[in-house]
Amino acid sequence: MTKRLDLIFNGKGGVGKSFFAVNFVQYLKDKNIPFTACDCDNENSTLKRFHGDDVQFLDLSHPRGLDAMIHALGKTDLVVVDCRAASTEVFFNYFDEIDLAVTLKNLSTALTLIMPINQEADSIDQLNRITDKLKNVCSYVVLRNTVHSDTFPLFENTVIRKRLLKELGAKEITMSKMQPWLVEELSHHNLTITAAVAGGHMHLLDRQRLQTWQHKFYGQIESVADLLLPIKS
Amino acid sequence: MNLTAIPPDALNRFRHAASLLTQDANSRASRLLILKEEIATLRKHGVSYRSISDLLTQNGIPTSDVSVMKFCHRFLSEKRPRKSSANRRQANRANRASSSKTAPVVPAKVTPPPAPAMNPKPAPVPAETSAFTSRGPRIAKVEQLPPGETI
Repeated sequence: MTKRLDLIFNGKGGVGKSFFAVNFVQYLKDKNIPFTACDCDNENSTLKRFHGDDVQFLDLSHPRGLDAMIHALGKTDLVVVDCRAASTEVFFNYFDEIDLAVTLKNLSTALTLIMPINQEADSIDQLNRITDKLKNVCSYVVLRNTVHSDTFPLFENTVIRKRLLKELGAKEITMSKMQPWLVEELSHHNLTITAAVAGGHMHLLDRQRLQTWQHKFYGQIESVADLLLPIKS
Repeated sequence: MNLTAIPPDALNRFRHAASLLTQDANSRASRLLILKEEIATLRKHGVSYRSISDLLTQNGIPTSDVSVMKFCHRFLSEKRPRKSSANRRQANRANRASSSKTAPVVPAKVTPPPAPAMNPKPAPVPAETSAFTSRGPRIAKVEQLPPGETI
């Protein structure tokens, strides 16, 4: 068995890192896949807000704050980390400190970066920065967040996209837009989709809308399961 | 030089004060030396001189930010970001030459016109892994494939 460390990573804020993380962790719960989840956002700990004690907080201001995500690999085969915006440098320095490639090898762990992007150049530019640093030390999943638009004209024909797909074996998935009132309702009550569907808070049709969204989302996750989940030998 | 113009007791007082000052500076430096590793780690994480001096002071080691800066320059081999005036002049010349494609090449012995006061100087770009990490702006640049090339 090769363990898996999934970092949901993009230095740009508002690209959907935490939204993806909340739903990905729910997927793992719904499928009974053992995991450890970590949230390192000290200002907006969204993942922890939705999943409570199932999520461990990592303090990035502490020099050894990220050690816990590595230690967690000793307990579970899958560790998921929702990385805070503007933390790229902190993670890069940490990777240098621990010699990431060697550490991953010693722990029989494969690293995957799930990198959400939107239509903004900043979110795409981050892919350059990340791949320049990590190259083929890890696998990459580009998450197209269609919250603003279904198309990504700025990204489609870029050098970085070609590099990711052709040289680095990256895969792309899409996270479809959820209706704003549904996002608001879930957020208001700190409910995941599974909890909302099971509970009686929401109207039948809205529960159905949520299920449809979740079904699509889980389909996207499963299309890249080989890069997101532990590898069975 | 007329040495008798300075009274002997004044000379002695000055020498004594100077020796005390040197002694004090050395002791300040050697006091921080035992914390070299910790200070190096903090600097690697981008913690400022002032924050380090505050941290030291809060924990009973009163130190100024200037002392921390001097310690880092001296014992951690951190380089001063400031350029010498000669380097600045050279960088300004190179900057002007590269920013104007039509400008003729200035012969070495010809004095260039004075630089405008706000002439931008090229900032060094430190590597991601260096002890100093850039805190300057990062402007997104998305490079498109050449026309006709597709993925």
